[in-house]
Amino acid sequence: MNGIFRALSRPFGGLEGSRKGLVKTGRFVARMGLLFLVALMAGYWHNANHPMGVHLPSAQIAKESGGGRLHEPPARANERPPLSSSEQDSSESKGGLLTKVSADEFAPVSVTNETLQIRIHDDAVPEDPFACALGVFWKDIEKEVEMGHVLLIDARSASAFKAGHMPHAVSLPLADWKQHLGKLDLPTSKEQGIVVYCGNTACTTAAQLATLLLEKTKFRNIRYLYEGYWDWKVLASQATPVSELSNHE
Amino acid sequence: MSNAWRPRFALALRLCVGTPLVVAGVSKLGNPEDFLANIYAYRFPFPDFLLRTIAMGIPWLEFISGVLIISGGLLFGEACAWAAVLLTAFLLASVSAWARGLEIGCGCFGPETLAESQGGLLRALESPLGAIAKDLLLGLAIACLVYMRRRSIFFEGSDVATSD
Repeated sequence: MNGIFRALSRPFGGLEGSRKGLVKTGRFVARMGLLFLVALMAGYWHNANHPMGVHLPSAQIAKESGGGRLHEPPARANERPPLSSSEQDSSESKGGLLTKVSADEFAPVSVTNETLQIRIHDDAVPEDPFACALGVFWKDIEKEVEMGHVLLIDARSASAFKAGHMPHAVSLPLADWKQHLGKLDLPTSKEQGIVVYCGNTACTTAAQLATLLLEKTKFRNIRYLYEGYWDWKVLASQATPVSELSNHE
Repeated sequence: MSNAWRPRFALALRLCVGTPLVVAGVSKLGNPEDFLANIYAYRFPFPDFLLRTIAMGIPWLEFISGVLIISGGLLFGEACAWAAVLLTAFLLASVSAWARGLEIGCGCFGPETLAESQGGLLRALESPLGAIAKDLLLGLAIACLVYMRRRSIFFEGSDVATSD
């Protein structure tokens, strides 16, 4: 057995040489691991302190004060989902699932970008979050958007909109939607179809903005897109060449 | 190449490899959520936890590796190894996106570059083919750097290398 090992290790400088090499490689890999650990810790710290930071799923679940996510539609249209007793207590004491709280109150808790935005802006808190707007799939509105029957609203930040957006979409960032709303060329009919979208399927900004618009404007036919911009981009690029898509924009 | 020019060439090569890594890292640090969205766009069949960990760690790993490569001193070999690992991962991701027909930007230099560089060099580098070409070139440069490091021709008149 030892002979086989010696024969195999001969090209690497013999048995002694290969052992040394192995130790050397082990140290090198350990230092690489250390470098990765430092980067990961820096990334964790950076994201925890960044308003647009990424959080691990467990942290996201922990920060949701009442449990469920706002953009998940109820079982039936506009039906209030049943609350557990603990949720009812917290809902009664705090005045609803999403309440106006000071930044200090939730600062230690890890929050997503969307949650942060809706909480720090007093005018961006839905009065009744359960009267949420309904979602819609892109395939169901694609033709209507092309014909101009539906107004597409981008709920992401202005810089994200500038970096790329869906064709015919207008920008209305959730963070300061009231200021931007007046500048938009809005339709006159309150039954005009409006669809709000955000970055991806995981984001909640679109549902929040759609709910706000439903509550605080005259428009009654407002929905949010289940897919986000990046999902649409993938779907659209598979359907038509990118060069044609850029012509739409 | 004369001996006097070798260290200068090595410095230029270190800057060529390190600067894109630093720029790529910093551009992603500015908007972590958009980088996560870029990763989602690749539609990898990995768990969400892993994708989020990658989105948190990679920008800093790029930044730190870039700085260490430019400095050319402490942990240079490890930084080069990480740069090679990252380039290989990006290369595989770009090839996989290209093979699956996903017309997505690689997100290598952050989301803003897509809009601000219409038709420019960055735009070309963001395309899957551009990203593949860029990764291959950088990989070649890293191989050159490691070779020069082992041959002790990093700094003029020094015999720094071969500590590993």
